Amino acid sequence: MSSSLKKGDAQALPDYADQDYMILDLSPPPQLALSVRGLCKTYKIAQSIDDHVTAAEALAAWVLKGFKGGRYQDFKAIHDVSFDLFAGDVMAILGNNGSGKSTLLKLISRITEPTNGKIDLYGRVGSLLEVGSGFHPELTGRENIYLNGTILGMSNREIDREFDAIVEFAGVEKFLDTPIKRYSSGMSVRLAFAVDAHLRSEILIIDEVLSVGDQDFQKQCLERMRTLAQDGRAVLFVSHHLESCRELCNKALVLNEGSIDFMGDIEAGLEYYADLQQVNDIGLLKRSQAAR
Amino acid sequence: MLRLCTPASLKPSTIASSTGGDGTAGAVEYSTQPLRTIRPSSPLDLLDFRDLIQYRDLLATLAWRDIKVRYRQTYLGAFWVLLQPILGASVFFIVFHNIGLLPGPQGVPYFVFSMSSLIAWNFFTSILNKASNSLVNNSQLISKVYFPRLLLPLSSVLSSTVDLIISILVLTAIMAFSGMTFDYYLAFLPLWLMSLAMLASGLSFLIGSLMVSYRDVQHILPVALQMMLYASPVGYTLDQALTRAPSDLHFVFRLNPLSGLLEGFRCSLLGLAAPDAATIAFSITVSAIVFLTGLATFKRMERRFADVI
Repeated sequence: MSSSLKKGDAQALPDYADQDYMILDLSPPPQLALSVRGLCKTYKIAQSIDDHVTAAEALAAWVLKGFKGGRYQDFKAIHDVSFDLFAGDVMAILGNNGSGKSTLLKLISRITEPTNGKIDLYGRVGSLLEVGSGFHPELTGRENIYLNGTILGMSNREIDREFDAIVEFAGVEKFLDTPIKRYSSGMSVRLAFAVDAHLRSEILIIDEVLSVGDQDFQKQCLERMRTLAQDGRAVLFVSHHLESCRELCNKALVLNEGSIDFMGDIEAGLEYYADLQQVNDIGLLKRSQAAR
Repeated sequence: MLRLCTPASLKPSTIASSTGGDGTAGAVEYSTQPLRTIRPSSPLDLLDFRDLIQYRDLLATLAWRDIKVRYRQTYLGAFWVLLQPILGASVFFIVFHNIGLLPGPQGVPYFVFSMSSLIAWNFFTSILNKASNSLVNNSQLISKVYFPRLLLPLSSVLSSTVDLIISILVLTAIMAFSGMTFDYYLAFLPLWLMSLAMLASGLSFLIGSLMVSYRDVQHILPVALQMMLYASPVGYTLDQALTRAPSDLHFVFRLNPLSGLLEGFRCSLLGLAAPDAATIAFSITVSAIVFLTGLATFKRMERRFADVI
């Protein structure tokens, strides 16, 4: 079990150095949750040729563009990414803006399709939605729980089973039959996260959802995610809040311009990321000095 | 693999912990074989029925949302389903019957005739309008979460069907009240409705996926529907249209698959003369072809939705 070796266990380890035998590890091998091989995503971005002024010029340019198939440039958002994720792993994905974090998550959650490569999924994937995107303002809290749940891929039966837990987690018992549009923003955020957090998927994708809600609720969310991971889920976590990454995750993957720069322990990953940012900062500095 | 054993990994409690937890989050189960492999799709891929079945509750929920939201904060609520064709038929009655001096077909009051036509026509246009716009209207969802995209237009078809059933029930009540009877043609009603639904949903798959890239379609659709209304035998029978229109325009009604379907629908419901076999065959074949073409186009364009929308 990869998850059995955690920070706290270090003291509990007896000293085997004086023993002259080895013991076969009889524990089951780590359960693979997700494996990514040679993943690529290329976007075509149009090169702007907006130097025409009159409508006739624009028309001419448009005809020409159609004729030559347009002037497009390939942009590699994700390039040749391969990694494995095991049950119980909570992996932080670190990287600067535009490094491909969101694209990678979108590929794994099937929102967009890879250009090349493959992803093997050994369980269901659930992604925590940006809060409220699955809600309809005119529907009541109760109706929205079902709407949001089914959008996330739950069946009505599963939602029935989790309903009370969701309501309790969000703390909206009194307003279940009020339309969401009359909720305070804090309440709807809590309800949305509550539905998300009761997804029964084996692979969980969390993209920057913690930046909402008040202090107490954020703490509640972190707590909830920790339980989710302890239950053997595999979690992919994206956040610019490095402290919560350190707290929640045991592994890290650093993306840089669409490729994997580093993969390993969370501490080492955070360190690598900090170095990377420093290098980037120095590069920026040099560039701006050169420009002057 | 030979590994240095750690005591923790031999304790049964750590092995069991993956199924324990706090009780609310519940156990998770992985499969040993990949449940699903994500790879670039090929144009030859068939419709993913497994996916559609897994998300079937979402289909019902989306349709239900559509119906509920439409009548929230309305005073008359679901009565609008009944009022719309009645008001529409009244306008037709004045324009075509009173001003245009168009008689109803033999033995059928013009009002009942036009109301039945409008029920079928409204079914057709409500699918086209709602299903075509469903992708763009839910762009938020499409770019944020995965589900079979086909469910969005399909849920519109479902909610339109609910409206259709209610209005057909009202019409039959009105007919019974005015002393009309039904005959065995009624058994064919589902055939016409299925064909209408296929034609409309096929078109809306096509229009909807075009609309994702080109919002122009949003502006063309209402105008096109308005023209379609007069190019189809809605306010008049096919016979009336063919006898009164100049023969240069006959091809419009001949090539319009709605001609056969509307005539067939009225034949089943009102007991009018059935359209000839060639018209029926033509209409149904065109509907099926449009449906399959729309589905294939949708399937092909679907993978770009999240990137373009």
